[in-house]
Amino acid sequence: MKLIAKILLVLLLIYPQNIFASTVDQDKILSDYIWHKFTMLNPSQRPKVAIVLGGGGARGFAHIGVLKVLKDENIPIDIIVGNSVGALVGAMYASGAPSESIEKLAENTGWNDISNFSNPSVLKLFITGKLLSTEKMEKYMEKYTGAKRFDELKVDFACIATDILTGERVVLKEGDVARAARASATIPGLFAPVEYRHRFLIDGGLSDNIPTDIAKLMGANYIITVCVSADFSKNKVSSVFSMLTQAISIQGRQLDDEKLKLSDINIFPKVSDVSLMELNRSRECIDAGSVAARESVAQIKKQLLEKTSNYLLLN
Amino acid sequence: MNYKRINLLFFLTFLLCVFSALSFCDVLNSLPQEQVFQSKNKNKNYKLCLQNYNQAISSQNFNAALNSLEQAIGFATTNKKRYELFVMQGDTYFNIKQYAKSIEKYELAVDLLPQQEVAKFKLAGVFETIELYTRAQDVYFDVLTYNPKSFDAIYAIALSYFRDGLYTKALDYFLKALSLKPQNDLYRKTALCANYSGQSDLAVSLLENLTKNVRSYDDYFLMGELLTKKSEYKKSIAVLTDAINLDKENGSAYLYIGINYLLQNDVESAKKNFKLASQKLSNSALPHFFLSLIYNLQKDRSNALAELSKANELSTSPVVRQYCKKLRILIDFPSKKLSDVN
Repeated sequence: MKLIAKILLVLLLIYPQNIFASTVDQDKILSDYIWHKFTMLNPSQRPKVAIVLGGGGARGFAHIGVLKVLKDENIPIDIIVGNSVGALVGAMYASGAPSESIEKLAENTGWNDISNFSNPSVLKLFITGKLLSTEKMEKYMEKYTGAKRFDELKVDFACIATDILTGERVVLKEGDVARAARASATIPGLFAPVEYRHRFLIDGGLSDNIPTDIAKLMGANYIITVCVSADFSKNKVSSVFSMLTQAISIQGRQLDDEKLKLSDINIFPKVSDVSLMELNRSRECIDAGSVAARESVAQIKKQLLEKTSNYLLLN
Repeated sequence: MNYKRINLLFFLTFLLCVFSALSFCDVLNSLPQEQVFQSKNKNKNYKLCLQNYNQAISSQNFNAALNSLEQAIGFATTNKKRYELFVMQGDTYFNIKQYAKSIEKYELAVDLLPQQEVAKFKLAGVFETIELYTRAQDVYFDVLTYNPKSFDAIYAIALSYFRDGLYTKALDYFLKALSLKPQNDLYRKTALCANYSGQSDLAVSLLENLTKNVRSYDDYFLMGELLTKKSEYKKSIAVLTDAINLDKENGSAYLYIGINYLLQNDVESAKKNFKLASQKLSNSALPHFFLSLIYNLQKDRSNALAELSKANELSTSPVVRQYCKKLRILIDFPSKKLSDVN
């Protein structure tokens, strides 16, 4: 019995070895060659690739996993458009921070690092109505983006915020990156609006959670969208805050569906059960982003090659 | 007359006896098996159940096999025996693809003897089969809590992460496993995982270490592939030449050398290697495809078409066929604008 069990144990460990099978696959060799040629092209010789990173609080850590996989696979990113957490992650990536260090940073980031969010401050909010501050978020972003301006970034970047007074969508693509990203990620009803160029700005998710049209306007020929919206039908609406986030989610969903149609490929990391505030689940979200991106890599490469393959065969 | 009556009566009695005997057998069969056991010796009955189990398994009668195991549990005198029986039940349910039941039985075994690893690994195996990788990983991590240097658990975690597509995490565990048992096969897998997780430098250095100990065509070929991916064409050609020295008849290395030359725009050297590859890989479309590509670049239309037709004949894969079609259009319409062709 013991022997049989040992044999079965060995077989169990041997079983997945076929995933490492080293056969010469003609499709793979040719695809690798064509893709390699693609990666050698100048940006002007290939489609301009944009990634749109949607909002979703803690779920947005999935963006880090997606960006890491795209980088590993040599998929170029020429434009980043982000909203809310997508703006925070996008700004860091566009400033040249490697996804590995963003990943480590995310794992060690709590609400205390980016705001004065705490139990007493939330209590104070309910009693006095005094909104919490995200000043820390701006300092945090300055530290990790090198206090850059938009025109100093390595990748074209824009982020979205909402003017709380007019309800307008505001596209931020000039000036101070840290302040813009902070404004984009200011959750309404919890954090105080950010004053930015005579406007009072809050989270872009209120007016446009997935700004694919901005990516198009910035010249993208190919758009990858990462959507980390919640499955709000499963939420328990039991508190003032949950009611508020639920209302935002419902409104956002309608807008999202329209905006996703402009995208060439949509990546949906499986993070819908993670709540807006659960920063402690960053590892799980990053992994979900990696897995979802891996599932889309072949399709992205195929679509990009379809647009350029003839050029590649002739040069 | 009387004789006839007696004979008839005798015949009817005989029929009645046969019928009753058959009915009794039926009743016996329909009775729960435990009532059949005559002996009060639990060990004897336990062995009998295992015999029945083996017979049922050899005749592929899984329900009977599971019944025998259930009976055996009643006769098992030690937890170790019960543990083994739960594992066997788990195995049987796994074989008939009743995964929920299989999980239930393995979990019973794990609860019974938590320090025994066989049921744990099998339980994790079922989770992996139904792609519940996180559940499988939880089981392996549980093993690590009391046996932190368990090679099997570390290796299983690496494989599980790899299958789950989490290559960076998988790589951490492959490296840990490698530090415990520096096996050649593990070097290879770690290198592949490093490559998938975007760490091609590490992948190449692992393969370099490996080829110092064991000179294998496959390892040199893989190293060549990785070096090409890193755009280190000259190094790749050198490594692929080492591969050819180990197996002169294998044409894949010639093909890859050709690709490396083509990527450096050394068309003549590429052509020479693709020709060699086409001789060695007589059933492969790719060398002909690349030759056609080169002839087309050199504006040699007739040779380009000839090679493309060979590639078409030999092509079995969808990607090669798709690119053959595209190349055909480009050969036929050389003056057409790229945007029109696209």
